[in-house]
Amino acid sequence: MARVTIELYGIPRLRAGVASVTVRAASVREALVALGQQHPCLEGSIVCQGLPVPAYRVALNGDLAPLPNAQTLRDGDVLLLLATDAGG
Amino acid sequence: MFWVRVFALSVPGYHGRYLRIDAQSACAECVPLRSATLQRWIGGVGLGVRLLMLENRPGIDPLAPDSALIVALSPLVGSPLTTSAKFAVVGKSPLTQRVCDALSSSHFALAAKRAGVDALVIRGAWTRPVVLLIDGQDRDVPLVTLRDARDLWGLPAAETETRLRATLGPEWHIAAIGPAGEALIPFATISHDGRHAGRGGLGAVLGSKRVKALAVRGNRRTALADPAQVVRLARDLSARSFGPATEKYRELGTVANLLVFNRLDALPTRNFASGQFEAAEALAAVDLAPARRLARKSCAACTIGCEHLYPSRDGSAVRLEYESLFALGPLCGVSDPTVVLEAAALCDRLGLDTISTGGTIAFAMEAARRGWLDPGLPSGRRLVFGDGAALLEAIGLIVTRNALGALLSLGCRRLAETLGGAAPDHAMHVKGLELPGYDPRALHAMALGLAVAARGADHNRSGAYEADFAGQTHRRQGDHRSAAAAIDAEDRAALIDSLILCKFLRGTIPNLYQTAAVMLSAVTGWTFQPDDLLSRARAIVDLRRAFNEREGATPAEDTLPPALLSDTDDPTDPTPRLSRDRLHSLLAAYYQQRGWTPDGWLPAHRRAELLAEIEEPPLRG
Repeated sequence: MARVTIELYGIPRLRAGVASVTVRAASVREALVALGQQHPCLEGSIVCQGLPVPAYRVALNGDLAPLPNAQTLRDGDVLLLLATDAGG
Repeated sequence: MFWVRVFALSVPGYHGRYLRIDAQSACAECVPLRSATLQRWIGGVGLGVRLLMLENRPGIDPLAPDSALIVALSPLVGSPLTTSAKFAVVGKSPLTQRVCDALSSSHFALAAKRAGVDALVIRGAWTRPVVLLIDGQDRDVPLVTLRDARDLWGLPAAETETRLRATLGPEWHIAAIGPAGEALIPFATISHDGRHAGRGGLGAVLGSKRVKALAVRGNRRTALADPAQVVRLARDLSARSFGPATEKYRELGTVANLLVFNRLDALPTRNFASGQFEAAEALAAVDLAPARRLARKSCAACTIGCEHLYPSRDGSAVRLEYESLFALGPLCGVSDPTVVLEAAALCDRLGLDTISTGGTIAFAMEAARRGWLDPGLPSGRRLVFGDGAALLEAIGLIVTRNALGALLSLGCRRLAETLGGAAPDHAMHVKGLELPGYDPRALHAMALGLAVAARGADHNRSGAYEADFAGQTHRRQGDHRSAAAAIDAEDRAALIDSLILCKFLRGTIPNLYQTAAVMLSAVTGWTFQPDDLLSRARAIVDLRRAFNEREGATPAEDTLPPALLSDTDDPTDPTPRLSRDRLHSLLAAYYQQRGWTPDGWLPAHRRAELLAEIEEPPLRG
């Protein structure tokens, strides 16, 4: 499994109290499951069984193109957990 | 002041008339509005621009006495629909010389609607400072009287509001200008209850009329065509507004954008020298929100509650939004949140638009760095990136036009023109309006949205960044899809700003046109179809374009500052770029998809159609 960093912004960062989390995961889905396990305060409201809730999305290495949850991850990949409502 | 009684047929949601107040003739009159006009232009920005076309003669100096300033309401104002307590201020901008519509919200909108009109039009100039009292309490037609404002001249807008309400009574609600509006600074705001109709300098237009404040009250409510349906819709919208789509605004406010934009190279830093600020964490929302926040507030009739108040150095509460944070922080290289809060508080007290203030000072810092401008300040400090004390001193000089303040008071475009040489290439504006906090090199749909927006560089009239951030378009390889996204965002904003609802609801309304049609039909009793509303939104965009063309605008104004454009824009390059060729391609796609001429003009038949409706003879009761 790959060693992956998940960067948190906004509400997830506020709730988890950390700017980033390192997990071991083979896919985006596994990474988000691991995130929910490490920070149960995010499970249900931010991620739900490996999927972001509709108000959130995940970007891989700064690329904002839609990402399949089964996307395979490699060592060093960085996932950004972002609110879908950008701007203001 | 005399008033003329003119009857108008009120329909649900509307009073069917607007109030024109004219200093030259010392007369106020109610002017009927046709049902067809209201159906077509809805309210808010749409109705306001339509009235501006009618009330302003072409080519007028925005600060001339007969330049009209319009406050436009909407059919949803006063309804139980959440976030609908909003008003649009519309006029010709002294900063851009183009159309300007700026929104604000809360009790002033409700009281102005209850005064018994759908819009206010103010023309002429008084010989001494006045407050216009517009009293619709227990009256069929509002009574307009003048209050001497010499005792208020020089005060911040907030203090003006407090003093007036203390003497007039709590049922009065006030929109006022600060010292910047009095001094005719072209980026002065009009404020109500701590919220600002901020962009484009309409505060200076009010100041040119020597109107310190508008005070309104009234108790004339418009009917709802289907009250039960409106209540059902309001309950549904309120419930959705409490959900996760608006949580960011409730819990952190828009300042939460800062770190995300920084991560995506989209945070304008040091006059757009970079899209990343090395000290962004110091200004981060998570640091600002829980530890520092004093309170959270809502506009009247709003269930989101996005306003976050922080303590300034003197202990007073300061409202801070992302745009103020970016403009007075990274854009000027300032990383101390205490300085940014103090700068935002100072702008509020003076009545200055924070984006234009920060954008102009950041440009001056760059001009000083390049040796085009003497950066000396009266204190002996120098205006350099990162110097928070210099930033605060510079803001204070703008309204008095002391020393460097005389140049800063011009806004970045005119300041750059004054400096000459290569300076205009580095002035970060579109059509004279300073750029908001979205680096267009990293967000190509937004780049197009900024370039074409009628009121100039504008994140509120074009939310094309949504497509960039959502990955619907390639944000660093913009193409025809970016043009479609920019048009969609502009059309949606035109409708939302005419309804008027808060854009923070956008994530909670899956089908805006369908939802808006149901809302408008329930409020007014007229039948609106989603496709009709899309046509109306596009007509509003076209009308703003027609206004600008009437004022001498050409498609050559649809561009970005030369310093932001490159010869190439290889997307594999780690530094985001936008080439001139790509911007031209985006513009061509935009014009084609809008149905404008290939070189960016409104088609003649379209312009004629719009003007014919405007020039219909007025109704008389």
